[in-house]
Parts: sequence; C-alpha cells; structure tokens
Amino acid sequence: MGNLDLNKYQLAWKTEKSFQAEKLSEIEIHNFMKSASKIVGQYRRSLLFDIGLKGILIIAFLVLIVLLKNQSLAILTNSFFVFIATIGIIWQTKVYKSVDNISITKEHLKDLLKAYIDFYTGQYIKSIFVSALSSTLFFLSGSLFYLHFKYEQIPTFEWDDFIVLALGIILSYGVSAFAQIKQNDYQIKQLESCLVEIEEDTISASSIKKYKTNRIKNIVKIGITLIVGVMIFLYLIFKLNN
Amino acid sequence: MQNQREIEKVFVKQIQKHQGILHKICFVYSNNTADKEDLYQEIVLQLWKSYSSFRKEAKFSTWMYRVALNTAITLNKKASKFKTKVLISDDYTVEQVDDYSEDIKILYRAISKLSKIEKAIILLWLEEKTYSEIAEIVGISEKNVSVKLVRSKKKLAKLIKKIS
Repeated sequence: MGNLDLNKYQLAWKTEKSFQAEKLSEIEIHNFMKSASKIVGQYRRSLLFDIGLKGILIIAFLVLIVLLKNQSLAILTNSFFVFIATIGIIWQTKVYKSVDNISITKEHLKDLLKAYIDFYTGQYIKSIFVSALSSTLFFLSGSLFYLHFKYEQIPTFEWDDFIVLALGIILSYGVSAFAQIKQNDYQIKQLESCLVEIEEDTISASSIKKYKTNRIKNIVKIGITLIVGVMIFLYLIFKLNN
Repeated sequence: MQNQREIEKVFVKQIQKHQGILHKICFVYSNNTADKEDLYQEIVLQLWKSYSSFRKEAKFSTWMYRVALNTAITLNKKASKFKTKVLISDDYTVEQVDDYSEDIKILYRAISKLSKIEKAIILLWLEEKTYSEIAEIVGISEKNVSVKLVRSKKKLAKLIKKIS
C-alpha cells in the first residue's frame, strides 16, 4: 500500500515542471563560481584570524624584550613566548593548507564523511589547543605590560603572584579551548550521525568508536602535555627568580 | 587545449543544462529560501572547484549528483540545531513550495522529516537511479542500498499518510 502511494509521488516528482525551469542565470552561476566556500570558509577565517593575532602577540613580546632589556630573565621569558607563538603560527599555517586536501568530489559520501571526521578529530582538535594558546599569550603579554608600566620593571614574584599567574594561564587557556571544543563537537556529531546511519548494517559503527577513542586520547595527551608544560614553566621562572 | 574562458563557458552551459538536479537537491536539503540560496552557491562552487577532476567518460549528471549530495550532506549550518527544532513542529516554509503541485508539497513536507542520508536515498530513488548507481554515489553495497531503501520508503509512506 505504501509502495502504491509512493509510485504516485515518484511520478509527480518526475513530471514536476518547476524542477526543469531555468532558475539560475549565467551571471548567477558565474557569481557562485567565484564565491567563498561556506564549508571551510568559516574555519579558514578563524585560522587566519588566529595566525594574525599570534603575529601581533609576537610583536608585543618583541616590544617587551626591548622595554625590559635590563632584565635577563624577562628577555628569556619573552623570547620563550615568541618561540611558542612562532611554532603556533607554523602549525596553523600547515593546518590551513591541509583543509584543501579534503576533496569533496573525489570521494564516495562514506569516504568523504570519514575524511571530514578524521580531520575534525585529529588535526583540527590539535589546532584548537594551539589556537587556545593565543588567549594565554594575550593574558601574559597584558600582564607583563601592566607590570612594566606600573613598576618600570618586572618585580620579583612571591608565591601568591605565582598562584595568580598560574590561575590566569589555566583560565585563559581553558575557557578558550573549551568553547572551541564544544563547537567542534557539534560539527563532529553531525557528521558522525550520518556515518553511523550509513554504516549501521555493515561494520556496526566500529569506526565511530575508533574516532571517539582517538578524540579522547588526543585531548588527554595534549591536556597532560600542557599541564606539565605550565608546571615546568612556572618552576623554572620561580627557580630563576629566587 | 581549451583556455580558461572556454572551460568556464562549457561549465556554465553544463550547469544550465542540468540545473534540474541542482533544484531538486536544494529543494530536498533546504528549509527556506535563504538556505536554498546558500546551498546553490556552495554546490556550484564545489562543482567548479572539482571540474578539472571530472572524467569525461563518466556522465556529467551522475558526477553532478555525487558532488551536489556530498556538499548538501557535509554542509553544516551553524544554526541548524535551532532550525531542526523549528522543522519538527513547523514542517516547512511555505514560500519554498509555492510554485509546486499538491503532491510535491506533500512530498516535501514528508521528506523534510527524514535524516540527511534517508533524504539522499529517497532522492536517488525518486530519480529512478539503479541500486548500483545509488551504491556508487553513497559508497555502500547494493544489498545495503536495498535494505535502506525499503526502510526509508516505509518511513516516507507513513509520513505522507500522516500529512495527507
């Protein structure tokens, strides 16, 4: 009964005149051909914005190096921040270029979904952690400028200063990374739900489990690295400062 | 060797000739006129970007289906969370189907309740594509296509019954 009804609709579909009408003019097609992609456009823009921000931060730290030229520890610290920002820019430029490697046309739908999920769970999630560094570097440069203009030098830190600094680093990084991870998760879930639907009868969605495990592994690995990094960084500053 | 201008000209002609495919895919995958415009733009852009990889021995229309469906399914709108909720209670925006016949209006309302993959399977079935063609486009086995098609058609029939 369902089939009989549907055949009627299939016929209506085949004979519908509105579908055959020429709605797109030559000019419109030309304009579309020259437009920016909405699939990767937004992602590319945010990457470019972040690369630009890191560039500005490098300039800010170089200015701080000049301003604090009499304090060797400050020069060392700021040079370290310049190094971190430069590595970040190099990494993000690499990711920016790799977006083009996902070809929407060469793949079957299933392979394309896998390619996108691979990208969002792998390279993209790593780039989020690199991107979140901008907030921390912004916080640090702001703090250093504040200290310089208030005391005309970077004063010797006490224990409570370290606690404030550590909290600032963790909060600025955490908030930025969390917001981006949430947005990325939404994107991944949309793609995963399509892939699960395609694969449900074939490989019992095992690849989805693999993606989820990889995503968690990446988050844990990078999280541990960052915590250890912050601790070593604070310890070294503390040691050099005293 | 064709120069760039000639290639562009041939491409535009092909798109104009096969624009029925575009209208159908945008019709199925968009909830309102603004969405539809975005999807037209994205599909044409993706087709143009990949035109160099189009092998002439394949049918242009089959290739166009693949690229257009890939684009429609992977294009995630930022506000789609909200829009999905609206769709469930509101079915569709009227301006989208104003010019269409009554059967197509009912079909549109029913299709709007299907998932992205079900929409693809139903769309290809409505276009009378063979199991092997559907399998080729979606990237699953023919057996799997038949299982999914039966299931999607059942769901569609139920929805149409409910709507009409």
